[in-house]
Amino acid sequence: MASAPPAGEAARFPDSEPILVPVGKDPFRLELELRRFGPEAGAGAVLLLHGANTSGDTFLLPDGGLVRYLVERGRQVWLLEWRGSPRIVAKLPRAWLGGSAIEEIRHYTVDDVAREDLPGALAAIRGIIGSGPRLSVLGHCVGGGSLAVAIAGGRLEPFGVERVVLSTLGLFYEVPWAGWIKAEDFLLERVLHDDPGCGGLSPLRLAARDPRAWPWPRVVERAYEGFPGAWLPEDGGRGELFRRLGFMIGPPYAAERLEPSLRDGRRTDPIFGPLHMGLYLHAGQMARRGYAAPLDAPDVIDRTRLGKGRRPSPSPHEYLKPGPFRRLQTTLLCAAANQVWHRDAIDLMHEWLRNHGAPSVKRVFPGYAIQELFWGERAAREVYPVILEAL
Amino acid sequence: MPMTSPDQPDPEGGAAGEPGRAGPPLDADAIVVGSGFGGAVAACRLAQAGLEVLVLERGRRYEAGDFPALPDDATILPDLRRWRWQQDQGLWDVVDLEEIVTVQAAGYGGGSLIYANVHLRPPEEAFDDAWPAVYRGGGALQPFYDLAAHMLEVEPVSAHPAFHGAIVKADQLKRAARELGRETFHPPLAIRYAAGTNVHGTAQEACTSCGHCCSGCAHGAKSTLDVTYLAVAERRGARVRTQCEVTGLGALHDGRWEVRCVDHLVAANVSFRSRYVFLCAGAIHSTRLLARARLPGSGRAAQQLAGVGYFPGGDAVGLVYDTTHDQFPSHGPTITSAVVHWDAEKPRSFFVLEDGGYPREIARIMGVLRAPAWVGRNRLTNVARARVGPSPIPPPPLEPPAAPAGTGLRPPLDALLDAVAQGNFGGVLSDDVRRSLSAFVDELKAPALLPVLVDATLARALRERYGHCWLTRRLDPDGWLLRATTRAFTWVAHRLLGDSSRLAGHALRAMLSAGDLDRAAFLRTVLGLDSAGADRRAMFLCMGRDAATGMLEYDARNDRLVADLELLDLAPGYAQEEQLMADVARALGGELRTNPAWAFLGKPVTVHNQGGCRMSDDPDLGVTTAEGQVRGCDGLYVLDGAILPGSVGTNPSATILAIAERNALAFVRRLAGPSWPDGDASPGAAEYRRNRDGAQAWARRARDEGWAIRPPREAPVALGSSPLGLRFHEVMQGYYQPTRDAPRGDARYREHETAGTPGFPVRLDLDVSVEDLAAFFEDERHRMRVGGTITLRLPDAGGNREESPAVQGTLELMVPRLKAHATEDARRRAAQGLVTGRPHPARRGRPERRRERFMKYDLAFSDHAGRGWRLWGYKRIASQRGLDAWRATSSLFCQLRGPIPRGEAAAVEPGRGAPVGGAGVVHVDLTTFLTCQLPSMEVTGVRDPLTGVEDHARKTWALAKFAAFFFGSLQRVYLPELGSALDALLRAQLGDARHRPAVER
Repeated sequence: MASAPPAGEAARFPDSEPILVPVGKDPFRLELELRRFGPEAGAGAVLLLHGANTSGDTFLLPDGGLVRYLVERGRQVWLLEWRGSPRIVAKLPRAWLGGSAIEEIRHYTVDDVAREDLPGALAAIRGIIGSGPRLSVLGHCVGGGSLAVAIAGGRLEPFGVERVVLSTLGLFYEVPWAGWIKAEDFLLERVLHDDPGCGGLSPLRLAARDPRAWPWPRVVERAYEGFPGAWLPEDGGRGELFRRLGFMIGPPYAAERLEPSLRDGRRTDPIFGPLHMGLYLHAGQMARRGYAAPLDAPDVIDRTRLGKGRRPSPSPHEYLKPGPFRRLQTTLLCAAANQVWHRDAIDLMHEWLRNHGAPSVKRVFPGYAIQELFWGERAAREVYPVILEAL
Repeated sequence: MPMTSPDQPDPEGGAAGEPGRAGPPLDADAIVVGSGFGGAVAACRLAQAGLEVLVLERGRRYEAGDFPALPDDATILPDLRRWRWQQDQGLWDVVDLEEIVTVQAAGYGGGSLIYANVHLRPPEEAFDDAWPAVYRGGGALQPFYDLAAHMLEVEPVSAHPAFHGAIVKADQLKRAARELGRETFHPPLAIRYAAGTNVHGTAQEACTSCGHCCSGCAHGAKSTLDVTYLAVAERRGARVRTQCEVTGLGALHDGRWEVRCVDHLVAANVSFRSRYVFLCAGAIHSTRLLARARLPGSGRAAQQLAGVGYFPGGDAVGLVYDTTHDQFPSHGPTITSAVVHWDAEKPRSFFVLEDGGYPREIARIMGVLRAPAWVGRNRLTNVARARVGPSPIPPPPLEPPAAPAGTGLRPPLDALLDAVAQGNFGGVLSDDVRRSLSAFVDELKAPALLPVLVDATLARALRERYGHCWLTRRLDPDGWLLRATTRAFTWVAHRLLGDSSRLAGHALRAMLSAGDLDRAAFLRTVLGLDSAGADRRAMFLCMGRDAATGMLEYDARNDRLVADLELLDLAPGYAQEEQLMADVARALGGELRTNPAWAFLGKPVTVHNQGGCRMSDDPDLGVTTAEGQVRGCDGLYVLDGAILPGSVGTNPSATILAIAERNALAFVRRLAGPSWPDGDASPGAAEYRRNRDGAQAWARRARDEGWAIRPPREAPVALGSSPLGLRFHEVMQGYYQPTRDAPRGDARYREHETAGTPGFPVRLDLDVSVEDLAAFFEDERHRMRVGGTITLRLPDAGGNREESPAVQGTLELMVPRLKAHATEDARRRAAQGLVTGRPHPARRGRPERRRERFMKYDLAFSDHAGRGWRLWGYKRIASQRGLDAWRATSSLFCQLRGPIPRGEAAAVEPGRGAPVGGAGVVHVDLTTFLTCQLPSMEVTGVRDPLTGVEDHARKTWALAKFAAFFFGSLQRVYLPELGSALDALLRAQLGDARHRPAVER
């Protein structure tokens, strides 16, 4: 690649201004952002999907991170800010989409990401690079979960994707016991019941003057106060954000195992933002059930008050379709010390794929928490090569 | 659609459901249920023969990094997932069969995931008459042992100097065995000693000696079935569904089979159909599935016999603590060497003792086995200096510290323990919970819960009962007598609770120094949760040729099996294994502890379930034919440990593999012609031929290096230790009256005693003994051996001639009336009787709930003329008005039967058969009891064979346990209320302690 940017450049400078990808129909229309790194797609293009309530900058740390690693090896990298990104959430209008928080929540789920965001982004990318170059997708955390749902629904097939990497999440949702307690406690459902205007939770104490700042409802604040101290990450000088994040989703990393330049948190903290209630609720529902299903599918105990009965309830097995996976090469990244999802989430996905004759390779990274797959001190040596090979 | 569930989560795929394929409604030619040693072979060979195979495995698929995380020293209960099958399809399936606890693996690869890799061939003596004719002598299986050895590429550690010369525990066992005049050998192991690709093309790492064999090899160095047989099967097109638990099996009208499953991955019911089904779910689960299967009418007869001939393989485990020299139990493969003990009396009986090991992570938990809380029972040897020297092998390097896990979180349980120790729950619990727990915290501040409870209970009971009565107030106004009594009782309680040097000592010390006591350290000591001296421990695993005398009963209502074991048959085997472990422990200078579950609950733990669907040539004796086919069920086979008709005495995996290899080949040959794989050009057949050719090298090595166990040429070495026994002398005198009618009822006996004057005098001088107390307690008839002499005048000589012949017989102590099994099927019973070689007792079962116990004497003697006589009698302990305990326990109602012609004595059953000669009552008189019988009470087997020193802890335990048995039986008859009263008292005390942990001194 003669025209590859010098080391470090890729991280700082995408090739262009972000491309805006409009998805959804009014009044639920959103504009996603797509950033391109690396000038040519000759050796293949890669779309990276961040996790919920983190932005695509995840892949740019440390010092260009995975993006730089891939670009230096000739790949063209695309970062999509899908609707779970704080960047997109920040751009939401002041009024609820569709008129009420509940309506917006219904259109802010993993189902919508898989149905609209991914096909929209892939269509945009194919529109630019043409149908020739190889296009692969990596999905991390809920990005991976959405990717798996999109694959099962056959939504990737028009775009000629042959290889995917699912990092920490596929179609199976397993949480560590702290998360399990929250899910089985129907914490989010109680929030909706008490405070139907709550659109999400943010680990940042955003100023109350912003109506979208989503101050924590009382139910959640009480739960947070009652949450045993030992279950929350040790502060270690990281401030309230890290502890609140630890309560919301589980500790995403251990500071002492991060790449040294990230340990003080100044560069990682801005990555995290508000978590939209739609995604949160849907993920919690799936954590209870154990595997992916549409938001309206019957819950373990059907307590979601989201207008039940308005439409026919889909089968809970709607997304468990192995067929499309048989036509893909799937690589699964398992962070063995993941505390956001339990590692079973990816292990069960692997078993399911193997059970149904779909090609699947699982790579286990012992001692890794979820964000350490990209930020950990050994990530560049241990994880990045695996991703490069898989894509 | 092939899959019939309406709730089908996989409408387009998985099994044969590819769109557009409109074939017969079959999901596979053959379904293999389970992927253990039987199932893996079946899957592999059937796939090689070109059959479409579907493997259904209830457990998970484990790759090298997937095995459950063990707790390390810092954490006690970290991530509990994938430990227990019952919890979330984890690795270990623990099933309580009521009389035995079984542990088996659940996972893709079955038992091979957690076994200790031993591929040991039993001696030909093991294949006795219990086996179908083709197996007898074991010769027919030899090529298949070789084939399995080749498939797993088994080799002993001795083949690799880097391992052989580096494992301290093996060297120490060798030295100890030499000291006992025995030899160790190295059994072949299915382990890769060097990294590389195995014969099936799967890459494997080298063994790192980390000792994790039984919790899943994290390095992929074990040649488990998933990287050998099953890898071949999958390459040949076998499909695998994991986490797919088979729940039912039924014959369809067209001669096909339907297998119903739960897919635990997506929580859905699925079902599959096939022409052939191979049940390989392990002895317990294959038997259960067969017992509940919907079989065609022709198979019902076989189904009736499911569960007959179950046996647990004689597993015993022992740990030796504080050996003189280092053992390093966590370094090296779990089993590396073995000693065989042959029974001198029963020529075909032997057992194997193997060096065990455990991962370093659980060293702290393994300390629990020596917890003083186990009350000294399982302390089996006096600690003395080792007779073997230290190993010259350098100590193994410590493993590098594991990467820190977690994300800045403290393991909650550890945090909780710290909080308990510090009395500060701020960090672990929220305010609400903390407030509600304050009473609990107060209680935990008490220095030592158990001894305090005991003492407080005693003191309080005494004070309440006697402290306020009139007499006490008069006699003991200052209360010193009460205090002295309390002290005495406390002392006795501590003595009885066990080895005073340990539990009571610790407890008392703890109580006395309550002020500055390290509570955490105290709890650790009492519970034994301690890794102190972890390097100076040795673990031993034994397995032997137990009699296949068990039976599994299917409880349809709860869909579970209940084991009906003749524990008396098993106990001597366990006792012998324990003795050999004690011998070795003594040579190593350590203290032996055995599995407390067996020692205390009378519940053995086994990891080697076998039998239940036994093969037999006789349709009345076994469920399956010699080829493993369920009789009367075309297409249904059992191919795992369930079909073994008798114990082979070694680790059974090699034998299960060999039998499965033989039967899978026989099955394929029935389909593909008797010469298969010869003449078949398919790649699968070619592969089988390559496997078969490869086995030749292993056959040579097995022959040259002597991989099979052989009986010793000279007389076998005897065991040094002896089991714990008991002996006493009993004298009874009385009169009987000649009569021709057997008296009915106690009163009639008493009439005979007093009717004729003078009666005929009888005097019994009996030596009553139990060789093995453990067996005695297990025996539901509690039989003791009786010897000694009888002095009497026989009726037919006119009563003129007094004789003193020697008697021999049995005494059944404190037995209830036994009710017959209500559910037991006569045909099953007959089969079980034939399997065990003696009539299956019809009067077994639960004791009746009557307040009645018997002591039954059955004595045989010969008179001067050589004619046989039987004295049959009973003491009846029943709570009837007018009877007291002394009179009941001392009066023997007996009848004399005879004469019996020579040679017929054995056929006479107690209480019937021979003509009645007389009846009467003999008594123990109180003076004789006090001066003769009580002092003669002696515990045997407590002396160290070398030093002659008595082990007081064991002696105390034996006496206490016997007393508890005897007086406990009396109490249950006379004072059944007392038991519940004591319970209530204890409950009250516990309830009291919760709120007011008063420490009374």
